Amino acid sequence: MQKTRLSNPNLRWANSRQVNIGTDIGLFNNSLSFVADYFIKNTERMLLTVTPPSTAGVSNDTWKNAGKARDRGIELGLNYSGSSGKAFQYSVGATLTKVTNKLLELDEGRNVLPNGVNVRSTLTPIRTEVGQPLYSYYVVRTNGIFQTQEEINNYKGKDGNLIQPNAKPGDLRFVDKNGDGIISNDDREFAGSAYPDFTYGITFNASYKGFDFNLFAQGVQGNKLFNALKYTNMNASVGTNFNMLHDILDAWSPENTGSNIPRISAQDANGNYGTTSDWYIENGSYLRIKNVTLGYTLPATLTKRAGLNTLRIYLTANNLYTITGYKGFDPEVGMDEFGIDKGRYPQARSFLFGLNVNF
Amino acid sequence: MKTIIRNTILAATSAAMLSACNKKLDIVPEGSPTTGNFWVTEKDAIAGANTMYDQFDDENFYGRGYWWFINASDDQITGRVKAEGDNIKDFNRNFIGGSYTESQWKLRYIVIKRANDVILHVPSIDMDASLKSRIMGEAYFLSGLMYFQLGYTYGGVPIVDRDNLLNDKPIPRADNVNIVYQYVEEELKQAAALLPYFDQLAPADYGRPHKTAAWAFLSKMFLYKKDYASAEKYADSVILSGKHQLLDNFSDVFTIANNWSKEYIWSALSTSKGPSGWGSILPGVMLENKGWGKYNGWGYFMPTKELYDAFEAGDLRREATILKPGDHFTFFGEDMTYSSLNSLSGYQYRKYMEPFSYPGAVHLSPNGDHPTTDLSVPLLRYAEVILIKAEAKLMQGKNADAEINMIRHRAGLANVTNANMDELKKQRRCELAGEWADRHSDLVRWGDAKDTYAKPLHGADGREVWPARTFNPAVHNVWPVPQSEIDNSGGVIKQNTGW
Repeated sequence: MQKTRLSNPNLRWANSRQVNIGTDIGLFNNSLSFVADYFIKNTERMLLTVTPPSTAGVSNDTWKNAGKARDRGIELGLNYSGSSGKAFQYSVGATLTKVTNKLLELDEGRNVLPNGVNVRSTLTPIRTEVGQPLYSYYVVRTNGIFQTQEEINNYKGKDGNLIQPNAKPGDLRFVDKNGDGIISNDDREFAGSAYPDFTYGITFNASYKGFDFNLFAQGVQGNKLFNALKYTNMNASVGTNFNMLHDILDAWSPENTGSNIPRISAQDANGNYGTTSDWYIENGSYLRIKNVTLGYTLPATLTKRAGLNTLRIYLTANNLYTITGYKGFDPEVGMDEFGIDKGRYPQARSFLFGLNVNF
Repeated sequence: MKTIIRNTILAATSAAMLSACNKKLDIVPEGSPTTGNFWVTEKDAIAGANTMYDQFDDENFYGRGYWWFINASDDQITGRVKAEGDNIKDFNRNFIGGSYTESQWKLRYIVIKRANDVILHVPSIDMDASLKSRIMGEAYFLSGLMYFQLGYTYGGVPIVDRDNLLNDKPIPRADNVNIVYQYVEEELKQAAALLPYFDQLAPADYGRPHKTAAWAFLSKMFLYKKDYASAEKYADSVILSGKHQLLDNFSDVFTIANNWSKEYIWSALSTSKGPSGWGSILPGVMLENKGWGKYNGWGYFMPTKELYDAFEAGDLRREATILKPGDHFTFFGEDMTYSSLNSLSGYQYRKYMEPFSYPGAVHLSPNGDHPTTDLSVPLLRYAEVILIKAEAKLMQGKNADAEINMIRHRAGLANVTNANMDELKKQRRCELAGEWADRHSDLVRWGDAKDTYAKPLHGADGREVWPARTFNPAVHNVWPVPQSEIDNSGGVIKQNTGW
């Protein structure tokens, strides 16, 4: 029996204040409609678990009203329905959402909200700091790959010592941001987050005689993902004998100097993989055709003869196609690990064939 | 008029109903207790006391976490590639904020808090006097032990004032480690006064602190504090109690059958029972990576040639401590010849291999991700107490041949005369290799760390397996404070200079 959590008698509910300014416009007999909404949401007394100092001796964090954050965003929607009254009817819609998030304040003079997010206890890319979006990436910057030993020997600090003495040609060059002559956690800087610049969706509906067609596509732009799969599966020094991804065949070698993948090394003395750097960060933007459905409702005359009210057959494809530059399995990694992709199982493309029958 | 009467009756009835909110509705809450209704009965005292040991099952406590620090010595290398572990061994501050050693403060302060709760609340509980005394003794012992470990690892650490608990307000660090050692002394002395001897404990209570354990840690603390007279005095208390003696065979010490032998003073109680075992995972951590297909060994902390060569010819401890290529040993009931696919030094520690020698995994945790065994890994044993006495005597200019020869004799070596500190250091190294005695701390306090670490380390085939390292005695004599402690205290806790 032990005390695992400090109580907080001053705990209160968080408070959110949101201001919305919007407009709904309908034109041309409401066949064209436009919706725009701008909002500012301030959350005060955010309920966060805060780790007390170890001397408190409890293993769980304390609930506190720990901070203030602001979300600001704009939502736009556009919809056009065409050819009403005609045999061929269609409507097109598009939505766009842009939200930015910023941590304004943490209580008790704190600047950083610590977190335990890590990849195999080695990479720790996430940092929540006042003035930045929550859960941003905080990493060492890289600047290409050393091509020759001469480049390594020329990469010196102010005191004339090599900044990366363990590097060999083919290793990553890290940026010594604070100029202290060594590469360490003090050289880290903020490098974006998994929050997108904007998300958008496109819908298209059409019907003609008995056919109906529906298409929904969804996209995300400007989010950054941390491709942690590289750490376990492109890293010869991970020490666990996992299978390597195919990409490793393109690693840097004297015959393949154009690659941006560092050389294969079982020791990784330079810390190509062991350093939490922006080499892991990739653009996670994508456009995905989520859903396409084509259906056909048999004419009423035919179905009534069979004793049915309506009969509709349809073919649906889910996740039909994705346009993305992301090298991992699936850019829809989700926010539960703040955009860190540890090889999340990708979504499947599926085809469904179906029948709707009304008796 | 009717309305007024109706309203008055309504109001009066409501008032009467409200006042019926009487004590009948004040029931004692069930489910998890809060501090408001705990620490009342003897059962509460026992439950509250047992929870002090809870953290010792954490894999970072007596398993791998703290061993990253011990790994810094020249006795072994990390054993497999592990960026953070390698950074720790190289005294490269990049590991600060990683997760391998971040929890070392928190784990210990949790134990301290639970010990403090016992010390504050148990005295007022109405219960059996000798049980109360033993429980109080356990709390003082664990409190002292935790502060001792924190002290020699980090230097001055915050001392929680039991009379003035600040709860979640950060407490600043003590100015220097001697203040912490002073507190350790008070706690352990209280513990020694209250605790029974080990042979007075019931078998079900083996693994709880006992009187000579408190004395033994007092002697070790005084040795580290360089108060050699006190170190010798408390080492003598243990020796003259007559409760302990060295086992005849060195390799017998590290067997399951001898978990509670006369050489035992304090161990990390471990068991393989239950879905995941309990206790120290060090045997599984040191086992060959993937255990030749038989068990999930983790493959860390492989010995060096430097350690192998440190043993004198004929020293029985060498083969009992280290496996080298070609050695025969029993593994899962069968004879095996040692060779390694994974050890980066070509050697492996043999010391904790006994649980793996039985056919089937009878003494091994069923969960390979928490590889405890039935062997309770020694943390401080009688041989070390003898060596503490020897060192204390030598540092006071006295002759320590009797003690050193006790250790040499058991190792199958001839006696020496006028042994000096070099001999003592060698015996400490050879006797306690791969154990929690922590050679890195020894090298630091002897002032030998810089020169020792300036030499590279070699593997079984003679190749260099670890480059020479730069050790700065002014900075690296303590380990850096976990970054989360600095962040969570809002800067009240300051990092050790230079890290």
